[in-house]
Formats: sequence, structure tokens, C-alpha cells
Amino acid sequence: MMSITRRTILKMFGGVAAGSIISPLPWKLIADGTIWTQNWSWMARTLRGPISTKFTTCTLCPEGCGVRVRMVGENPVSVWAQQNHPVSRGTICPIGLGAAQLRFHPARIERAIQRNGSGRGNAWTPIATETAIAETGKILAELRASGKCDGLAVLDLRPGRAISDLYTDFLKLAGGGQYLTIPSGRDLSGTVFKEMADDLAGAPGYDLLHSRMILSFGAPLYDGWTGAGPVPELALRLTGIRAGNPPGVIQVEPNQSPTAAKAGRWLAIKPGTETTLALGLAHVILDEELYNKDAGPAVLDLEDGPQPGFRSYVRHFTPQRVSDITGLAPQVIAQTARDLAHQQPSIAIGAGDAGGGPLGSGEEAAIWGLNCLLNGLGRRGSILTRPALPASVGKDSALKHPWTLEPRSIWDLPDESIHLLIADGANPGFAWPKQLLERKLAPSARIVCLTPFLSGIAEMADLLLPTPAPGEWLEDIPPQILAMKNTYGLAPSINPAPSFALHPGTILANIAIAAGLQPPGASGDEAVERRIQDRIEALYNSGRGGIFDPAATEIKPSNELRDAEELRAILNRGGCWIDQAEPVPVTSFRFFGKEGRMRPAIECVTNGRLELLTVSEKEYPLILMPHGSSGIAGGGAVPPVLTKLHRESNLRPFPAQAQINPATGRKLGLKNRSSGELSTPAGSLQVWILFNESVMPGVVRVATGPDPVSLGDLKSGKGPDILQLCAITERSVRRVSRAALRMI
Amino acid sequence: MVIDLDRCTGCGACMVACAVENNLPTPPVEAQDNRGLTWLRVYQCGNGRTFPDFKTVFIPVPCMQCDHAPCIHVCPVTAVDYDTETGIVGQIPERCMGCRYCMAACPYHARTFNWWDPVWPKGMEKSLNPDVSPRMRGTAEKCNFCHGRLHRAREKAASEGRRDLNPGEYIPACVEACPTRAIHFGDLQDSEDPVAKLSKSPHAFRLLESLRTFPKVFYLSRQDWVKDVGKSRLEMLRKDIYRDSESESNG
Repeated sequence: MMSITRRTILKMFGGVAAGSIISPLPWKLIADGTIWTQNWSWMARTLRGPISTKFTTCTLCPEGCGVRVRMVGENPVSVWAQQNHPVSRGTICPIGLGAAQLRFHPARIERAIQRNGSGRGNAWTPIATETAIAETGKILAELRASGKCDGLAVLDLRPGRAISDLYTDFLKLAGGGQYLTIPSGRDLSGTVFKEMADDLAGAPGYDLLHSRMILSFGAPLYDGWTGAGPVPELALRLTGIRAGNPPGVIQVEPNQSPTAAKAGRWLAIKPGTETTLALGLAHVILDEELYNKDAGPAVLDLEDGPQPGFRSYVRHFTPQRVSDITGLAPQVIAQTARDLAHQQPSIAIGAGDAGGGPLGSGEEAAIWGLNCLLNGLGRRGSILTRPALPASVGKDSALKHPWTLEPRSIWDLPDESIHLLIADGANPGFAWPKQLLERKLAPSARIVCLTPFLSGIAEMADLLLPTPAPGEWLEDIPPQILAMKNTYGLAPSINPAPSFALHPGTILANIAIAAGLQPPGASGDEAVERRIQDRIEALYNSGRGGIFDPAATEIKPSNELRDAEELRAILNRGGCWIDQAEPVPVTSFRFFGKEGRMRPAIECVTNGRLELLTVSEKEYPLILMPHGSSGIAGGGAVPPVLTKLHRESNLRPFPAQAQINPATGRKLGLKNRSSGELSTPAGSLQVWILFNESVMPGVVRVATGPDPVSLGDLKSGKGPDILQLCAITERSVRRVSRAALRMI
Repeated sequence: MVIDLDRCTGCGACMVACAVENNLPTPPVEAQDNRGLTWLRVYQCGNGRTFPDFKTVFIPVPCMQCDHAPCIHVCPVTAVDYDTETGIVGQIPERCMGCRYCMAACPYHARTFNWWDPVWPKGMEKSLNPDVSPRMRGTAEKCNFCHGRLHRAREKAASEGRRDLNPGEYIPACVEACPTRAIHFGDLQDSEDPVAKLSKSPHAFRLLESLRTFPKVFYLSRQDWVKDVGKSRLEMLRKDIYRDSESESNG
């Protein structure tokens, strides 16, 4: 019998070790282990079911891009661009690409909730929907009883839709109140144009596609100017970079945004000097007689009349003076003016950006004046004035004119005048200063928000009522502000709304009933349906325009359709009505506006010293400039997949990052990638300092969004709101403020 | 694939489209920045000059699908697969044991490691692409030119009695999503294919050509400094604009 000794044991282990090297067993164990770890029971399972495609229109922003939705059963799983769509031209933005995720957004509310106690904290308590509606109705009834109906307001962040009509109907039913919106930069630009153009029965639009040269005053042409970013034709200009080529796009802004980075020429002007530059360019064009005397300027008040003429006003803006104010070399100013005049048709565009806010009236007036001088009104490739949308002529039509009344800007209201605010929770896609809205609220004011998500304006509300998410209800898409042509699209429900979501129209009707009013019979989807039908009949009966059908390759004239039902059917399957009417001529264009009303706004910015920069430069040596991308800057819910851009890579900054030029940083004793405190006279915030060569010396640049909540991260809280630090001036303009930055 | 850098505006649509198509989850909040899964990443690089002479280029970097792919040679469990017919370098998550040799070997930083179980917000798994299986944590991942789309296109062709795909019948998600049409996709072997012609353009170059990995992703730019970044200064990809725009910044 063999005895087991220490030597035997060692031999055995040695043999095992030696055998293992040439045995496949360890490798097999590793391989099996890896397979096993790919099969945990908690692993996400993808849906199974019939795969289909639906064509529709994106409703995440006002743009109205055509999209193709891939469905598994009743569930949308991805959203792609619809080829040949006349609005988006086969393109789609990153937000639209992630749209299928939105209905599962962590910030989605699945029942009515109310804020705990007073103040704008973050604590919420569930409440029965009926109770929430009854409470709101009671407040409305008290307002009516005390004769304070003007204290009722409905805030519509996306006016012009069929649902917007239900908001105005609700106010009529209540016997008064304010129909409000927060105007975007484009809205303000259009308003200034109408103030300058006499008796204009239409709206201005940029014909970017056919222009040879675009002078953009900070507009994010290549970073979300349209919902889908630049249309492919606009992108063609990007390849004309070779030396000697005239630049297709000239970008005017202090910092190198993505658009400035891609533009053929970037003019890095000092912050807030856009008006001066526009008038300086006009000066060169007039001085060198580079304009066509028989065209555009004929409608502009060039010579003196009751108000000083454009010529005499811009006379003082010599290249040298403009150079002193803007920081650009005189020869650059002169060359830019000559390029604009020679590369016809050319166009100058303003309208601000989503994060930095709108341009002021003075800037917009100067830019419109420059356009007029460039023969840019009513000309292909420049400014096309779209005619009004057709009114109803059908005998069964509920309305004579089915298009919504224009809302009033909330900033024009007296302070503390709102007692009950009912807010529509649509994501406007641009940032706005919440402190300005606070000013408009009476001390005991209540905000009721009809929204699918607890983000954006909903975070300020006292009471939230859940509504369907985008794609879960029928919506329509009216023409975009400053669009080249009138368009109209529909977004039918792609998937059914969950039972907890109430249609905003139904909520309004129930609030009216709770207040003791008698709303009309139809509410919710049915009421919206009727309004949309009115609009479609008006379009069909006008015989105007054409219809794009995803199933066809060409745009078919509307008058070749059998009836309004056929038009409706095409719109329902992702089609788009597009106006072909001729531009409305502008007969007279007054630089200072009707009765000189624009003059103060123009003069306050043409001396190159903005009022808001009069704060002590010693105490606040930097200029704070907020910025952000369209659709993401405003705090509304965006698909969580956008963390790929904002957190999992460094393609786009996020709000806590204060970007500053390295030279400025060193001068102030700051260190790159360190914590800092950014302060303005309005307060201070903790930030992360980042040196960035694309930022102008003396400027600190901070993104307005996306905050963690809007991206779906509810644990981290909202994050810093940089607009709380910004100076608020005329109509919420806040592009530049004095600031200081120190390390902590 | 040919990517025109003069056209890329850095909008990020390609990155989002890639994540949607290939079921890439977002990492937990506590994850460090840049630890998420990105099969395609757009880097923002500067020309090294100071304001206002500073210039920017956006460089989308998917897997280069190299002919001589270093990742294939270093993988100890043959989880990296080279398709001789298409030239696509595939990744087989069931075989991958997470050693990350391939990540160390890839000179383009085109591979990422999934440090976390793939988790989506409640209900969001209903929005996942049914053609691509989610992968568990602990494996290296990379772009595979949307293999699921290739399978779909092949099935469609087969059902119509065709062996070859029609031009444009199969394109990766990033190509479809790019709003400026900066990303072109086609058959490099077919001299008549527009992409093959673009790859022979005098403006075409490949990243780190001197390494002789023979990538199948070409880039176009009419600007010499951009070519310099791509050919010899790829470290700039890692020194992107929002993090380390200048190393001597704290001087």
C-alpha cells in the first residue's frame, strides 16, 4: 500500500499545476463564465412584435420636422428623419433622435401632485386629480367673484397650435384674463420687423436656402437654428473654405461657438456691440454707394423726414468709430460690407440664441435696416414676407378665422398682476429668466401647470396635472416664426396615452365646470380635432400651396386634391402643407418704427455702452455670457440619451462649467479645472473653471442647460441656474452682465 | 466610410443615433465623466493657437475597422472577429472576458468598457432596438457599423432573390442621422462607388496613417492643420476643448 507523504502531495499539486497549463479547462471556465454573465435574469429585454413604420411630424419644438418612427407593436423604438420633407429636408436633431425615450422620462409625472406648503421648494405631495381641478376651479371662481378676472392668465409656450385656441376659449369663458407667452428671440425679431414695416399683412421670413451670403449676428446656424440643425444645402457652404472663396456664412459673436467655428469668416466683436457693427456696415454701403438705388432702399426712409433718415443716422458710424467700439479692424468692417453688397442676394440675421437670449429691439432694428439696404425685402434669397394664413370660408366652419390670436408677452405685464397662472408645459427650447416671471406674480399667486414632466416651468408650479407626452395625443404644427414659407403639419397620436394623462383641453373644461361655468360640449381631443378640421378646410378652400406626401416624391398642388378630407389624410400620414403664395410687398419701412417708437431702443445701444455694463468694472472685471443649444437650453425634459453629448463626452458643456480664456484666467490668478465662485450683483454660484481658447478674453461663458433633471437624473437636483445671476433688461434680454470669478 | 470634417458641425446627432440604434445605456450618475459607453465619439480639437486665431474642428471617431487591427491580435478569447467579406471588425460580447487588452491596443481610443449593468429608466426598455441585444457589464464594446442594419438589409435582399445589396440599402445609423451629410458610406472596393472616389481625393487622409493599421475610415479636409491633427497629433483628441484645452494652463 502506497503511503501518502508530503512528497506525494507536492507531486500531486505540481502535476495539477503543470497539467493546467496545457489543459483547456481554465480557458473553458473563463469562456463559460463570460457567457454566463451575459445571461443574468435582470438584463433588459427588448420588445418582440410586428415591426412597422409610421410617418409623422416631430412636436418637440416649433420647427415641425418630418420624422419616420419605427414601431414594435404599439411602441415607438426609434425616430429618424423623413426624407424629402419640405421643412426638415431629411434631417433631424439629436433631441428628435431620442424622442422615443421621452414617454419613459424619469421626470414624467404619473398623477396630480401639489407643492408642500408655500415657497418654491422641491417637496411634492400626491393629490387626487379631481381635488386638484376643484381647487383650481375654486380659485378661479373667487377671482371672478372679486372682479379680478385680469389676474387670471394662461401661459402658452408654443402659441399658434390648435390647443392654443382652447386656451383663448377658456379665457373668454372665464370672462377675462391674459393670454400670454414668453417670446423667443425669433418672436421679438418678428415683432420689431412689424413695428418698422407699415401696414404689413403677413410675417417676415429668412430665405436662407437661396442666399449667397449670410451675415449672422450670433444666430446658431450650425447649432440648432432649425430644429434639425443646418439644412443640407446650408451645409454645402461649409466646404467653401478654400482661401480666396467668399465666405458663405459670416458669424458675428464674441466667442467661438460651433457656428463661428464653421463659418467662412468669424468676426469676434466685443459683447453687446452688434447694433454698432450693423450700422457701421450700413455706413460703408451708403458711403461707397454699394446699394441698388432702384430696389430695396426705395422703401426705407433713407432721407430725413419727421424723424432723422437712415442715412443721416448712420453717417456717424464710420469704420474707425465702429472699430473703436466693436474691436474689429476698420478694413475688416469695410470688406464685410463690400462682400455683403457684392454677393447678392445676401441676408443679415439676428434673433439671438436659445441660451444667450434674444437680441434687443435696437439690435434687431439695425439688422432689419441693413437688410433693407441690401435690397433684401421680398427678394428670393433674402427676406420674404409671408402672407397671412387663409381664413375659413366653409359654411360649417366654427370660426371665421381659424388661426390663433397672438398672445401678449408676459414681460409686458405689470409686476404682481397675476393671481392664477395656468401654464402649458410644452418645452419652448430656449432659456428664460425665472426671476422675471416671479416678479409678475402676486404674493399669493398660484401656478397650475398642465405638463407631462416635472421640468422647466413645472418646477415653479404649485400644482401639476399630468398630460400626455409628445406622440401620445393629436397635435398640429403651425408655421415657424421667421420661416421662409407658411407650412402646416399634423402629429397624430403614435401610441395611446396612459390612463393617468389627461388632455389639456379636458382639464380646462373641468376647471371651468368646477368654477361654475358652462363649457361647450366638446373638450380634449374632440375640441382640438374640430379646430384642426377648421384649419385644414381653410387651407383646402383657399386653393393655395401644395401638399407633400411621404408616399410620393413630388409636392402636389392643393387644388388637385379631391376634398379637404384627402388633405387631412395626407397630413395624418406625415405629410406637410406648404404655401406657394407670392411674398407680400413691403411698401414702406421706417428705421425708427411707427412714430419713432423704436428710437430709444436703438439709441441706447449705438454708443457701444450698454446700461447693464455700468456696474463697477473693478469689482466685476468679467462679462458673463450665457449660452446654450436650441431645445436643450430651456430646462424642459430632453431624452436621457443626450448624456452622450453632455456628460459621457465633452462635445457640449453643461451648466456648472465656467469657460474662460486662459490668458484672462492667469491674469485673475485662476487655475484650470478647479472649483470657483462666479458672482454678479444678483448673487453667486459655485462653478467649475475651465480654460478655453475659444472664449474671448475678459468673458466668462456658462451654459444654461441641460440641467440634470431635464436629462432624467432626479437625484442630483436641478443644478445651477446661471440666469439667476444675469442682468435683466428690456424684454428679458440678458446676453451680457458684469461678473467676477474667483477660486474657492 | 468617409467623413468630411469641413462639413461636421459637431451637433452630436451621430452619437445619439448610434446610442439609440445600438441600445447604449447611460451610466449611473455617480460614474465619472467620460466613463459612459460611446461607440462613436465626436472630439473637438483646436489648432493650438490663441484667441482670436484659435480654430476648431470636430472629429467623429467610430471604430476605424482596420485591415491590420491591433485589437484582433491581442484578444485572448477571440472575441474580436474580422469579416473578410465586408471588412468589418466585429465584437462578440458573449466571448469577451473584459481583460481590456483590445482597449490598450487600439490607438484610436475607439473602444469603451461597460463598467455598469445596462440599466434604463423604468419602462424605457420598451424603446430599445429589438435587433440589438443589450450587453451586460464587464465587456469591451465598439462600433460595428451597425451590424443589425447589415443583417436586416441582407435579409431584405435575400427575400427579393438578390445576393448583393443595392447602394444605400445598408447605411449605419450615424450616416443616416448626420444633418450636414458629412458622413459617407459605401464600398471602398468598388472603384465606381462615390465613397471609394472620395477616399482617393487629394483632401483625404486617415488617422495615424504612419501606424499602418490601414483604417477603412477616411477623413476629408481642405485645411492643412486639420490633416496634421489627424495624421500626427492624435493626442489632441484626448485633449479636448472642454477639459484640457491647454496643458500649460496653470503657469
